[in-house]
Amino acid sequence: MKNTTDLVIETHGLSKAYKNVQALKSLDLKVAKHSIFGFLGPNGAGKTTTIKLLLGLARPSGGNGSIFGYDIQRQSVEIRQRVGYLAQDPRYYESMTTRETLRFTLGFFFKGPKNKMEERIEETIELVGLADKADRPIRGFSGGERQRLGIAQAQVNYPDLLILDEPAASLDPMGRHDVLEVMERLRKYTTIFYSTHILDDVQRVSDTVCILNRGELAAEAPIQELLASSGNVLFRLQTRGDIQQIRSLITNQTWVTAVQVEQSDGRADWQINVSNLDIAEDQLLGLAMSAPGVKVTGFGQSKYDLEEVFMNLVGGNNHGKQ
Amino acid sequence: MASNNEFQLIGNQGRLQGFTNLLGKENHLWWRTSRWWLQTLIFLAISNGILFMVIGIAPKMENPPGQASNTQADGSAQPLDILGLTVFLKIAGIATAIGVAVLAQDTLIGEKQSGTAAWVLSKPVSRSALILSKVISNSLGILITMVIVPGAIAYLIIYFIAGNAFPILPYAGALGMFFVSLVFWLTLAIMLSSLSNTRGLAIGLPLFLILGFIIFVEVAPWTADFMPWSLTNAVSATQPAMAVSLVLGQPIPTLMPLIGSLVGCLIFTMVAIWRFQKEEF
Repeated sequence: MKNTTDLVIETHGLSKAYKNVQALKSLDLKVAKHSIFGFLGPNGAGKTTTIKLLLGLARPSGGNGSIFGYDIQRQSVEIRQRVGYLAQDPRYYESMTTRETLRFTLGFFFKGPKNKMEERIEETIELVGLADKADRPIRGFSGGERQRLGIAQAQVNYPDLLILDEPAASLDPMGRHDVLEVMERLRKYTTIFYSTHILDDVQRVSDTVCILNRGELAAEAPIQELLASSGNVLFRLQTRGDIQQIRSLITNQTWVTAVQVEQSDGRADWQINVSNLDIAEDQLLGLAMSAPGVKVTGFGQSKYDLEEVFMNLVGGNNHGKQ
Repeated sequence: MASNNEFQLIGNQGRLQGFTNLLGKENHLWWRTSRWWLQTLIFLAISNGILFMVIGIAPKMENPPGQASNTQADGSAQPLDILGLTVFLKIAGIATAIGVAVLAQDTLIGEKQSGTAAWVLSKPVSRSALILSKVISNSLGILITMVIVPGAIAYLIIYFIAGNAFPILPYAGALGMFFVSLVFWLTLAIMLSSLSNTRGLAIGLPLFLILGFIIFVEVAPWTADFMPWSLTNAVSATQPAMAVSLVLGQPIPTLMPLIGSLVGCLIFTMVAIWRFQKEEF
């Protein structure tokens, strides 16, 4: 039964326990159609576990989920007919070539005119830049080439949903750039759900972000909303002169949540967190300039980048923990 | 970017979802790699090599004092053609069975451990189709490389050395029994591979059963009725292997080992499918 809403993925209380380890704790997730959904978290946060549950490669210990309205436990084949998946450490049949692997993959989804099938395979090979290695066995491929093949096999069927587990993890900067470009190009055709710990990539291409920490949802929001959420707007101010005058003026404002100052050679560099962006934009510069004996030499608004938001949410103390 | 409209979507095939494609891939691994000729060479060398030595070379050598030549139950010398047939089926029935167990354990455990099984199962594929494709493609590979080719060469060796051509149909039936015994070990090893990721178990138990059959039939003769041992081996001094009896037109006292082996193949395959449904990746 198809879902009539715009949600592609929806989970309610999805959880998974392995023996004594609670890998995922009651995850509620909503992924909208045609979004690039960044699934963030430190190692062992439960990202890969979630993906495996969504694809029917593992069974949930509790809760439920659906993709395109299909139940992830009972209708897994129907789901996988519309999904392309790239695993974190993709493995293929080593004796097969890129072309044979894509032919094999496409054969699970479609039958049709052979020449059209071959055209699709050729186009996909070109897309990921493996044309010169299309007929070589995979056993000689580098990590980056395997990752490109992984992206090719995940999208050769033009899936309605692409699930990518750390798609850029083993790529060099050029490879990463190419992968992100491919993802952006595919955005208008498909929904992309991808896990990563490379925050720059998320900030660049994602429109929605979910941060998972120790199997729990720490945050889920459109990326701009997350970055601009309460307490996350930051103003920078550079001044010369008496900082006490200006400090008391600023800290007395109810919309100022935190103030940090660094001084050197009579100059002060301020970082001012505010809870209300509009008031701060209207009043902050005026307040600074009104302080007697103070000259404002610089002023501007900056936002936390995703890394800061991420570190605040996950506490920065559990990398590598399972 | 073109659309998918130019293709026909593969619809719901239930428990056989993805089977044809998987079978094609498994056949690729058999016939488009070095596997087929390597297996053929190995089993030609073992089964036919030993057969040739026993009926082609050994009879030309003088028996050392005190060592008897091959004799039948009544004490008379065994004709070369019957000796050849018996030796071929006996050697093939043990050596090839061991080869099958070694080969079969890797077909599933190898995929589970390498991660290719998880990759394939992320596509629209049913788990039963994956197991069935392995059973069928490996059965086909075994049939051609380990039964038909060595069996045909053995027929020719016996014909040229012993001067006797066995009737074709009973001989084909004997090879069929040999094939059933190999599929029994194949499905047993696949089932054990689905139950455990331990290669030792998947190889060890079949080897124990293959090599220990003499002890089993001594201790518990009834086990011979449910196992494939007597299809290619004599399990008593008076009763030759079923396959030999078939070729020689002798009465076969019971078909139970054949039926038991076929039922075993079916049960092992079903258990493998059942267990693999529960596998998590």
